[in-house]
Amino acid sequence: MAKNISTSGRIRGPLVYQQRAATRVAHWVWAACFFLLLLSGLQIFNAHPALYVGSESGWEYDNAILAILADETDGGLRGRVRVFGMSLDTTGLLGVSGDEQRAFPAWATLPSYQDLSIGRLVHFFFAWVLVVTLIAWAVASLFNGHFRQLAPTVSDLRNLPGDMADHARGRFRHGRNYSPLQKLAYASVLFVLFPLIVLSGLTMSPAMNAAWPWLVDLFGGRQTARTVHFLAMAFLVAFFIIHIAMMVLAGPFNELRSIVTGWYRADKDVAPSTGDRA
Amino acid sequence: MNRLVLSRRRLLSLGGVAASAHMLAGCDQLDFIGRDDSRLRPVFSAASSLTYRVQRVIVGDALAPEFAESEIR
Repeated sequence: MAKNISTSGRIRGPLVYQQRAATRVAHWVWAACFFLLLLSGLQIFNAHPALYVGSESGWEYDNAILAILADETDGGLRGRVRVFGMSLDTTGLLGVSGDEQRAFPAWATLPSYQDLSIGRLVHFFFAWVLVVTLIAWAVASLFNGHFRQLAPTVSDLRNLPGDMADHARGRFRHGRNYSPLQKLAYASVLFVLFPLIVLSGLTMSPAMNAAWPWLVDLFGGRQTARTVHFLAMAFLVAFFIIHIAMMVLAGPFNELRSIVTGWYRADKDVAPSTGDRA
Repeated sequence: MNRLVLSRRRLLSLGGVAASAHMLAGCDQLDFIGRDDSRLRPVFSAASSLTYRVQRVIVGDALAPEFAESEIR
């Protein structure tokens, strides 16, 4: 069998077709949606920068678990975050930034100035794009074998501790399929965080409360749904940061090629199979 | 070869990605969307009409949920 020799003289593994076309298109649509939904979402959050837990609403007692505040002090405006009863001075980032009273700073919101209606317009547009892409991707994934790529197997569970140790040491394996940790991360986003953020978003809509009252019961109230929506966003931001770091550490050229063209250079100990390229 | 250590090349590319992500978020380049004469406005507004029509289909004759007095403070 002919061996793959790279220009540097090293033996390379086979080029395997890893990312299906529907997955690649959906990935980049979601990447754009992620940024625009995040920035417009923070704009909407700024209109009332507090999160509550519970189904009640009113003013009799305070059930806020997070609030971003601005205090008038002798030294000028100070930004403050109150989270679970703790108070942190966050002047410059949260509460007060650019000598202005605003929860999230101008660079983190869309538009950069305060405008709830434009924020909502942009947010709901990209919410539609996200949901339509999610449905199309799910239907395609039923037929192109992508769900089977994502589903964890018994051997994945067995290899999970070893895979975690490998990742912690920066030793990345480039296999024919995703590693156990990759499957776990992608499945959490696609099957947990995406449905959660869509359903908790719908729960905030008064019309949807009329149509599907079970949504409010599911989340334990509209305010709790808003908090869940925010937490799901925080998890997605954490995923994004780790996702980019892993991509860079595991070899940005190879990883980017696989999500643009579908073809992925596996390690040299991966046995070639039909359909591979040299 | 020590595979635990970040090479300089990787550190540089990591920094590059971080910088470009910062630039993407840290700008007001998208503020034109909010202008009344923006050509994107009708595109975004079309999503609002879609939302309205889809909601009317789903909602039908359903009424807003009622809440008990104990749930209102």
